[in-house]
Amino acid sequence: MDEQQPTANRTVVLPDMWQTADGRPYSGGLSPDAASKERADASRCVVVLPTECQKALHVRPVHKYLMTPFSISSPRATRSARTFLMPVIGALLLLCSLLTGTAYAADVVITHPGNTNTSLPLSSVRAIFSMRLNTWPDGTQVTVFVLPDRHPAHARFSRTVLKMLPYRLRREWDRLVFSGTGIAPIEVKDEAEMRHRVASTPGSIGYLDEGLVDASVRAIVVK
Amino acid sequence: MQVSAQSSSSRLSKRLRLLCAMALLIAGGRVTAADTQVWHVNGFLSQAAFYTSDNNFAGDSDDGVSTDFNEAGLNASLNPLTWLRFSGQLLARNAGHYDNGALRTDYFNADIQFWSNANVRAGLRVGRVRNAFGLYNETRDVASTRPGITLPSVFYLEQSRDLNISRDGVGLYSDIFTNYGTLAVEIGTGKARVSKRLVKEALMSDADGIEPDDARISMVALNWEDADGHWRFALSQYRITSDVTAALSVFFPGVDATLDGSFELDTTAFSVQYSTERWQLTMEMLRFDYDLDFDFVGRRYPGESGYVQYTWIFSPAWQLFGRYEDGVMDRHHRNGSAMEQFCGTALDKFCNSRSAGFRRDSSIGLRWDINSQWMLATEAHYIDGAMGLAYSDNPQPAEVATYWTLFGIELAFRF
Repeated sequence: MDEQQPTANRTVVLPDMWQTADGRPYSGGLSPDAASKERADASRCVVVLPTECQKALHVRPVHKYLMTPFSISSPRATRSARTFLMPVIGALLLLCSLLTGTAYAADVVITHPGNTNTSLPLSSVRAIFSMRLNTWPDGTQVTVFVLPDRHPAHARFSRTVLKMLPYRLRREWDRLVFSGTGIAPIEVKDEAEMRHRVASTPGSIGYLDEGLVDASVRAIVVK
Repeated sequence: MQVSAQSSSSRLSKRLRLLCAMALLIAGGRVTAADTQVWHVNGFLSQAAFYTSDNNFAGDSDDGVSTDFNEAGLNASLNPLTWLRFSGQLLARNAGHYDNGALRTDYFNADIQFWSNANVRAGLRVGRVRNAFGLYNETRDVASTRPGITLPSVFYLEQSRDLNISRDGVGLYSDIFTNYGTLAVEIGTGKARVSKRLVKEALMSDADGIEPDDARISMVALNWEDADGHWRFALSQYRITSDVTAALSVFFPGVDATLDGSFELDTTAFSVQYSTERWQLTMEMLRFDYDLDFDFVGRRYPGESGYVQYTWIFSPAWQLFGRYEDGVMDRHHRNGSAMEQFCGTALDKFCNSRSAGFRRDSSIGLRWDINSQWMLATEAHYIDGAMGLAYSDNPQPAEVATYWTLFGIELAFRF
């Protein structure tokens, strides 16, 4: 086994199943672009696993650990090693996501596919989910869908995307509803219903685990 | 005061109708129109029981248990156009001898939103409009939105409840959305809801013969929330004015004449709240100047009050709070001596006990959110003073105790 340090961390192209629908790299931080540049003169391939995975698999700094069994010294060996590497990387990443649970889950804001907006500023997304802003830039009505307060995806979305406390969001909706100055969002019971309602309601907005997004809804970027 | 059997049963049947309507709606689920909900209906129900060592709170709780405290409300919101909303809320509430369960309209208004974009929205509300005061006034009858079973009584004075709830007029509002937070502004004016009950409570005596007339209210309220929702600030200024006439027979039996006077109430309220995942710290302060003036005689309450509350959210469904409230009816006579000013005079009917002029209230409470609809809460108070205690429940000043304890338990439902 060759134990020499690589001059730089090489990266590996992921098999298709690990890429997102529009070819973006998997959120674990593995980049196809860097790999294709180095493909021509790859003398070593390493896999850089994200920190959460390292902890979950109890591995020390990844490049040292994986470089040893997976380092390749010749271009021809590279091709066959890549074939060997792919399922192993796939299995490792699957194992990682099972062990870390939500570490790999990321929520995206979704809208009805007819929505012309591809991105929204964070202040607008907050104002919409707080039920203070009820119109799109073109003046049409916003219909907001949310999961139940105690659903883990709701708490995760509030904290990571809106960066708001879930109970403060609930208090704000209650204040609007019981003072007659607004309404609460429509509560759906699970993510499948969320996707279905957003897909079928023009002007709607909601949120969903990145992995559950399909072509029936549009994912928008929060700036 | 005699209540005819007919009027009490019609009140009862109105209440029953409200409860039946709510039961149907809860059973039938949300009222929807196609896929976009045009109608929104919500409601709430609560029932509490109180025990006090002395004094009466929400019924005859002195050395006993009073269950004469419950709230039932139903509201609906209709959004026929993007910029137009109609909303209204009906409430039936029992609170001892002070509130007898009559059905009333809390608010009923049209909201015309004439401006809305990513930075600013603005609109006009017309009709019976909620008064924004402090952090909790807008939803004061919804148990699950309160910071405890009872609202901090020195700040959310029960006596001025009717004034606080809503006004019949207009409110111009605006929300400004920035990356740092949201600023909400409202200015409004209208007719103040000054009731006979309010006058009775304010004067702390049977106020037969004292009639308010043409009560007006004007207000401005500001609310700032930072982007993450950690900080919340509120500031409001209210001014209420009214003409008052008093039948002189009230003061001097046998004299048949009326006296004209005026009533003015100015309040300034400031609130700040800091919230984190696991705890919340709240402080609200109030300064009020109440002035009932009949030229040669009058009643003034230049009061101030405040409270601080720490809430520990030790689990998603459980909260524990500790609160300290401090209030005086007359900041120049903090021991309550101004409340005795009419004792032993010709106006002895307006004599009150000293303890009605201040209140220092320490309380702790526990709350369990059983699920998204049901809530169970309990709390205990140790109180020094009787400011904010309803006159209707405690008509004998001599029997008002200075040191007393209060225990309460409440079950609440909302949908």
